[in-house]
Amino acid sequence: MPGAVILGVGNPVLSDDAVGLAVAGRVREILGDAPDVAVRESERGGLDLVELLEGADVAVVVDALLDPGHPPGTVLPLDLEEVRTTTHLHGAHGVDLPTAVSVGRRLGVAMPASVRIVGVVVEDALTLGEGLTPAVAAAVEPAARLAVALARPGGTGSTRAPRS
Amino acid sequence: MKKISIDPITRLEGHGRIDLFLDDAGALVNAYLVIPEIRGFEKFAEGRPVEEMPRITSRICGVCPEAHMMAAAKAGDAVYGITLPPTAARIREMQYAAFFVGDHTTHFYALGAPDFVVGPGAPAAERNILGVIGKVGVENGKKVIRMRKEAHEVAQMLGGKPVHPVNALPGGVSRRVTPEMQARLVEIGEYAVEFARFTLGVVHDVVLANPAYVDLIVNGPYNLKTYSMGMVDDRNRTNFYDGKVRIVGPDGKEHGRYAPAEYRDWVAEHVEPWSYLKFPYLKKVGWKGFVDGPDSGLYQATPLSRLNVADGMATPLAQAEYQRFYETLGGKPVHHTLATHWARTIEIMYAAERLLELARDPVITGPDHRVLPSKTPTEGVGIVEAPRGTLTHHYWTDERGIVTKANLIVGTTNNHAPISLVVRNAAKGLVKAGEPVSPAVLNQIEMAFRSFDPCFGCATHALPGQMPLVIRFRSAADGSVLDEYRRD
Repeated sequence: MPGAVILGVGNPVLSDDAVGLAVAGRVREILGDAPDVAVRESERGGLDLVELLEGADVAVVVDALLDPGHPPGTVLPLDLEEVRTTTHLHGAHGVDLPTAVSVGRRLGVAMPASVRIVGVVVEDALTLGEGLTPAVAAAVEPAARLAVALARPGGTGSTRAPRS
Repeated sequence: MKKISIDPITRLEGHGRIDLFLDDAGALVNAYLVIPEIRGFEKFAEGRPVEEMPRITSRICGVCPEAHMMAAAKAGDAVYGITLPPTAARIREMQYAAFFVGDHTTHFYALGAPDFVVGPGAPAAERNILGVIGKVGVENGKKVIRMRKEAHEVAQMLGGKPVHPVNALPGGVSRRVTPEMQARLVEIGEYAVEFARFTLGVVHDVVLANPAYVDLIVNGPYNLKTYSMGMVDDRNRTNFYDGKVRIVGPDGKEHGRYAPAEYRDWVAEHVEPWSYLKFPYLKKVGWKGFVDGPDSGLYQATPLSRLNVADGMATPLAQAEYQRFYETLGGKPVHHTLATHWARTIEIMYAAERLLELARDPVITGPDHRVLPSKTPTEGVGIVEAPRGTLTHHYWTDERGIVTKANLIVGTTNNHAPISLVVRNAAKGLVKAGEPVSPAVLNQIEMAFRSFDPCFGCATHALPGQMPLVIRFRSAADGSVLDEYRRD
């Protein structure tokens, strides 16, 4: 199904690392019963991103962000080249998001023409546990709104993030 | 003394850093792998029903969820004193074989092959999976993607989810295999064997046919003569899912075999102040520091170790390649760390053949896919071979099956000390006093490390907000940064 996809990535049992999944859940609620944007969730990155983004024209990927330059809960729109500080879109067995998109394109898989990232700066992504820290939990709503705005026509590139 | 830090290791899942210590003349004195550890597993596990552990622990790590699920499910079997019916055991093993094919495939093509297929000295921008596709061709690249997709299809079909299956429980699996599912599993198994043949062909044609690569594997600075660990069946053949853990010495002679419940008689853990992660060693040999040889309790648990502990492989094509492996590399055991990549591809073949064998087995469609626990739960240990090494889950429960205490020894942790040691050996061979450390040299140091397919996804998860590679020259006297080198 061509169109836009919002993909939340994260680890559901690693404290704030789950924020991408929480945002995807909130996006589903915002979109309601007649979604114009597909919503997907993944606990993995790497080459799985090829399968997860296949078929979409526009993709918005939401992930936890390790950025000591911003306080926890800050929501940042990022471009493909800026993924090195995210937890699931970089690393992942040698295949980061830009590489996964390039691999997909090289192998003839229908990859999105536009890929944007919504990063949520985390406080703790190293302690096993369910639930987000308060600042990160408060960022779920603005991150979800930003993801939806970026995924809709005209939403790529120009939309600035609401900061929390 | 100077300290060089490689931080983080490129293409590594999770955050690791290598510190290289140089004396004033620039000669290498020591090297260590430094890893931050995920916190709170014990607390996280306590108070949960043990039957939840397969589903929960599989989420610790995004890289090898099935390994945790299976080890936890086997520990749950042991907690309840259950012996699995053949249908349940074979479904689990078949699912696990499919996972192994997919996981090893990812490592080989994304992490291991770039150093060989593209070349150890190739520019970093080309030394990745895109470079591998450039060499092997787009049509062959599609085979890799298809294999991964079909491995996920097995997880979806049997486990309910493509990545984090949820079907293993104490006593078996929650879903039975229908004849329709079996027909598809056979198709996937047949493709997996064909794909494994192709992959072994890549190893033969690209790596073994190149004398410079064979020389690098055999004569390069990548050697480590430790004990080897891996699981075997009752005929001492490799088995990923069940059996006893066998240990052989650096000379290849058996040091011992243990059943899961006995692991604490054989393995102990050493603590160093500079690392959160523990260093397992063989209890009966003892911790002698970061040294190899028969008097040091360091052991490796890797694809290479698994071949070293086995008398052979249980499937024909894997067995043929196993024989070729030891004939080519001068007999058993093999201590050339870079040969681990070849060993991994032999394991792809074994897993593919085993997947097909089990998919064709009429027993898998039987009704006994689960037995209900009836005994009072107490304590249990489950062990499987994870792609990165022997994985041990140990749970203690109260009489209701609620976890009161838990312990894990994860795949990569087994190899923590050996990784530091092989990196030190490689660095000693490659870093010359008075000569600048080039990016090519740093990559060759990392090659030692990547052979282990190191994954700290279940030891740590975060990545720092830094460039992929940072090398710092530090003064040992005051810790100040004398020089810094970065590359993308």
